[in-house]
Amino acid sequence: MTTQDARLFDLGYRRYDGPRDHPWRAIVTLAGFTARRVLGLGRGARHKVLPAITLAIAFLPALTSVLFSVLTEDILVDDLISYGEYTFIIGSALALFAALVAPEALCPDRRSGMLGLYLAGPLDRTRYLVAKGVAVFGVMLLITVGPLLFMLIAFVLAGFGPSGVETAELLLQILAVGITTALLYTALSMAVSSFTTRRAAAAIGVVLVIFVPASIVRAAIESAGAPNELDLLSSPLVVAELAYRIFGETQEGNDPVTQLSTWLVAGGVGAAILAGALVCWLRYRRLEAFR
Amino acid sequence: MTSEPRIAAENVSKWFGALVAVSDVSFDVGPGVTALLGPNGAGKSTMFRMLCGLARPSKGTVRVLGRDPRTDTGVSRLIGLAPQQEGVFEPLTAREFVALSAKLHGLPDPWGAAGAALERVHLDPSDTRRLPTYSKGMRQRAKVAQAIVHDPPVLVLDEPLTGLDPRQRMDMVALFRGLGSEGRCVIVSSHVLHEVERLGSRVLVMSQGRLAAAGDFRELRALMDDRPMRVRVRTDRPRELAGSLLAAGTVVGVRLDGADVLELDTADARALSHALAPVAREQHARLFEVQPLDADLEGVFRYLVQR
Amino acid sequence: MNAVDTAPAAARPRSLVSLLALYRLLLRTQITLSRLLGIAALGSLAVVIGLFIRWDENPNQAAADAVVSYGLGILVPFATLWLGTSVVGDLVEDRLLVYLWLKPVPRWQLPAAAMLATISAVVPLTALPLAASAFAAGAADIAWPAFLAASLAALAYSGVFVAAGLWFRRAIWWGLAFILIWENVAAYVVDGLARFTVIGWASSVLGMAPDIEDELEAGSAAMALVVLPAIAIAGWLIATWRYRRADVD
Repeated sequence: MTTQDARLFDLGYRRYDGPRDHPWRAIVTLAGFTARRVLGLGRGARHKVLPAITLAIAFLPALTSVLFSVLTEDILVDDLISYGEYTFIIGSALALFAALVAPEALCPDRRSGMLGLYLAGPLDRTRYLVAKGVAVFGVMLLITVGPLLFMLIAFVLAGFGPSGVETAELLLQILAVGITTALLYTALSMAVSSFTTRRAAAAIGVVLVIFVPASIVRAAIESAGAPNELDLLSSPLVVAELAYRIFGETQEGNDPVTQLSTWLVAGGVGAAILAGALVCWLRYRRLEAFR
Repeated sequence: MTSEPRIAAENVSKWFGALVAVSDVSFDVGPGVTALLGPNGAGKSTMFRMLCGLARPSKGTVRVLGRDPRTDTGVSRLIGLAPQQEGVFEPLTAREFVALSAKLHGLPDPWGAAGAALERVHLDPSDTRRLPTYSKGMRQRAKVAQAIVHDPPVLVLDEPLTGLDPRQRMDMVALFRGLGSEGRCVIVSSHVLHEVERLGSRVLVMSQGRLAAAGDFRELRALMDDRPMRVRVRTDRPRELAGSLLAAGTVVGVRLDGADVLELDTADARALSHALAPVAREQHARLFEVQPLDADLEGVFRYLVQR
Repeated sequence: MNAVDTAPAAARPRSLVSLLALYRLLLRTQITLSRLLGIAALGSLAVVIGLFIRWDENPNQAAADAVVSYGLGILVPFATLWLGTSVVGDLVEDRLLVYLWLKPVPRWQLPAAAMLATISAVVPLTALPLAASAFAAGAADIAWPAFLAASLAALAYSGVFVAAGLWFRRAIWWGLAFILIWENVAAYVVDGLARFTVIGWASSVLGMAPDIEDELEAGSAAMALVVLPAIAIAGWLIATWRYRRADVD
């Protein structure tokens, strides 16, 4: 063997110079991965228990309504749950689901240090949040649109439901309510989750932010005579009232929010969505991803 | 000093659903230091947990000083455990951490006992810093201190040398040897094999949840007759020596390494040791060095876990 | 003479000493400043509500309703959930339980210490503000029943949530489901179910105040004084049973 036969081969780091996808691909990938993680897909059975239970709770009123109408072979309108009141009825399930989904989507990345790895690639902070937001929103749609869609399809198939143009109109209303509700809960839950790395603390925070303002505001309005507009701070009640309005229904009782104009109610929901999104974005702009 | 086993495991198995972590392991451990070795995932920590009663065996029995550690809470007075996990109670100082252990063991002077235990592991009892600010090695020593504070006759130490620098490891090895020589039953797991060798020669080797070997590792090496032992010989006449040994059938393989080094593979180390000097004399070869290459613990371990 | 012969014939530690040691440890590790401030903030909101209620036509009834809906429906259960599940649950998650398990300490002591640590923080930060909210509302008759109701509710919830912390991996979420669905929806919607809820019995205690209507009607105030501690004891027993059988990591 002589030195003339010797070769040195460079096995060191090389840049990848081939074609690269657009960053939106990274957003889609992260969103899909997050949605799967939150729902426990691709993981053991015990990771699916909590999402499954919450979905079951949310679908239960729709299921019983459909079963009742099928078994009695007739619809007694007063005895069934209307589309408009569904959001109000499953308010606790919505809060529970939001308390499960957003903390699971955001907190582990900061606690484990994955956020730093994500930001070292094509995802900047805004794209990262968009990806997470899309994931949380998409999963929330399961619970905000799913039961209503189930009711619609079941009633149509059973011959009780609307037909023709009415079906399309009802479908649009369902999508409008579902999307708005999902956006609200996504924004609020992500805003709260951006403040802590512990899922447990975030979950409690989400529920408190959803329900505590309502308690205070109602006391202020009903006892101290504060203006009804203050009820716009009661997010779950405001979005439930908006659902009634979209479906053309009227809520029973004299809740302060029922006295407000539709534009004000819609504006309140929109403002809450924007506020939640802004808080989350500002938090992540300032976070140090050093772990 | 009693020679009865302090720790006895009989046909112990542990499974988690479909995963078998420990499979049909039986051994006895008496006074002195015994090393529990095995690659990651071999089942060592699971075995330790069962020895201390932290986990219930799915099958079989574990006895510590004749008592069931799982059901007899009094056995915990007799066991000191330094677990593998790194987590510590964040608000506590080292002395508070060890004193807590002493208090829960009912020692009459918990703070004094804590100070003595910390000094024994070369930590300063008067240090007011909290445990999370300690280096990994210092936290490790604090864990050992809380394991020995109540003077237990049985010590279970899971990876106690992790995170220690060489000087600290020497001190800890000396501590463990001292504890073993006092008649305690000390069972240690570690990946730092050359340090474990200094603890003593008794080993338990686990691999894939099963017990691969138990006993003195030198005797284990001698039992491995399906694997030739490798010996390094430095001599001024390597070729002549190699040829004679091959012809005599004392070695099964020879490799020349440089101008004066032979690596010999032999199936019978004893025969080689008897034959080497006479053959060297016949060939007028001078022997500068004769060294077994895989008779150490690392060699034994590597062979056992790769089977 | 060897270590075995000289090993101290250690007397079992006096129960009070070890219980106190565990209690102090859990207080220090779990009752952090941020948690205390968070619960105190929620408690102060009760006083704010009380100030609003001062202008109500019937401040006594309004104060009682606020104690039930906000105090017993949100403040007390959430505060107890947060602390009660984490006081042992965090030890399990951080793999520190081993340092407490392998001690000659009766197994009942850790759950007991956990409950004591939880109510040590929760009762002052929730029951006192609720009593203060009654005074702020000008409904002094409600103050003592509110304090008692919140204290007993905290006791009962501490048993439930400490047991949950030992039983479930995601105890917080199960606790949220329990509070939101069972305590705050099912108790009101399903007739007769209130007697199977903590909020139902705790609101019964408010019946000790004159002329107060109890919407949930779980039972009498006297019965509540028995049922709520019984729930706490049941939670403690379940937690002890679970702790005894647990595989400790």
